[in-house]
Amino acid sequence: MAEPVDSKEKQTKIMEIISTEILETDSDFDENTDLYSAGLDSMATMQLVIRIEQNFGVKLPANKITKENFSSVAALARII
Amino acid sequence: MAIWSKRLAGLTGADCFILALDRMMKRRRQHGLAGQTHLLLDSIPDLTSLREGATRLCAEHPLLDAYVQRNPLTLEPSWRIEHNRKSNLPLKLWREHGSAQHPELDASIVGSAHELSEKILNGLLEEKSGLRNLRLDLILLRTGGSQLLLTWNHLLFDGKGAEFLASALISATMGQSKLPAKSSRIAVAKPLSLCQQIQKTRPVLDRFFNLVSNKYQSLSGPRADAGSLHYKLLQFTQEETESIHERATNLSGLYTVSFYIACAARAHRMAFLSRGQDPSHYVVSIPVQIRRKGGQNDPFQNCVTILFFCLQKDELESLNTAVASAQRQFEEMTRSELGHAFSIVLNLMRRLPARPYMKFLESQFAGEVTSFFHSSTGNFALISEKLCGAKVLDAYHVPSVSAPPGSGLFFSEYAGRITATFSWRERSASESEVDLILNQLRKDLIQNPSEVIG
Repeated sequence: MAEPVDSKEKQTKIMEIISTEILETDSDFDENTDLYSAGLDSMATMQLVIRIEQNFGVKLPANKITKENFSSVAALARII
Repeated sequence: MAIWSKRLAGLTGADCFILALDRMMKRRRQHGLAGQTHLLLDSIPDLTSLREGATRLCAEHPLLDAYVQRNPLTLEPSWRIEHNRKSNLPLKLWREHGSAQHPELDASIVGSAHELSEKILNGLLEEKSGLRNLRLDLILLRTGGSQLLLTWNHLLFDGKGAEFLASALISATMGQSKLPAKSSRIAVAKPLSLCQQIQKTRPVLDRFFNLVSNKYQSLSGPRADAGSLHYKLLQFTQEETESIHERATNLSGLYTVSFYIACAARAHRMAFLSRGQDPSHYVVSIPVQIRRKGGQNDPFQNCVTILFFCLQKDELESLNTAVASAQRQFEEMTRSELGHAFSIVLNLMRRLPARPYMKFLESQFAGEVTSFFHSSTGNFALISEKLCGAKVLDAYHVPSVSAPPGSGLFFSEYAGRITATFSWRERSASESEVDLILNQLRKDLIQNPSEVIG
């Protein structure tokens, strides 16, 4: 099933945040890349949460900040 | 210093912080701030390749033999290199007493790898067996394997940088030159005006005033003088490491940094309690990488900012409350961009000579600097699991520490196994206090999280 357009936009924005501020990403970085393998750690997760909240004007509740939800850009986009 | 020299790079704000600490240590006869990275190998690597790699590394990176000098007019500190610098990085060979003899190898005998490692950390990096900022030692072990020690000057490398350095050495032994493509040398440039920078430092000043109003102590006390550096390792199996990760996630979610800070603070508290002391607060500075995470990177310079955590003794009664406090502070400091603000402060202080710099810090921190040092470098970023034909079985860091504070607890992980390194200076902690610290650490990392200290 195709993703809604706004979900794609979210993914693009998240990928931009990650690539410019959080991780050294390769050219094959996409919405399904495993963020932990790409270097996401404790410090980087906190930075990412705050950047997402600032950019999307949302507050991510603690119960949404899970390993599964932060495993990829696609998973992250689903909780925003 | 030589008259004929060339400027290579400016010092980062964090470099200058380390420079001040390094000078304080030398004044107190503590040999300066160095770090050591250990690669444990399953066999003896091909020595010809290793030596060729070391030579290539040395030729490509003159910073390895550079020294710090300030411009006498601007006081701007920079790395400089003499025109007649060393063009070779020697590999010193050792063998543990009782290890197999290799008559073809000219190896000096040493009691144990640990003993040699401590001796090097307690010596001077400028010894003729190495460059100014790096020396290499290979020890043939009783087990038949070997251990490579990279001893580095903390003025030029941080822990993560040392991992990239080890990778650069491996690349060089494979004939691959230069640094990884994702090189991003930290610029000293200041995009903000001076006025804007000063405004941005406000959160740091607020935090400082809050910290110095608290009573905290270090194990060495403020008047510590010379004292040899020692260290002990806690190395965990893969099963234990999985269990530690599970506990860290249960207690701190994805923000596991707060779990390790809490464990380190509770472990240190055991030593104070055994002295009949119970400081009301524990202040710890945490280096935070400003290199973007993932992949390989440029090894040089301290590319970190610092976050200061303060835990109250009541919060340390249980691991749960200690983790919760560290986590709350971590979130507050990240939200208020304290790390960025501290980077600006460090940058503004770059031209302050080391002595007044340290005097300033000592006056801010009541002579203690911090309660203890701590860092968690996470997964060891090694480019390959092989070095010149030998498999890397384990990799970890042994940082030296200044006194004050006299002690530090450091974590790293390789191949699914965590290593905790406890470094301390003689007269800062006794053997029994070290055992208390490590026992409490092991308990907190592996056993019942709600267990109460004491």
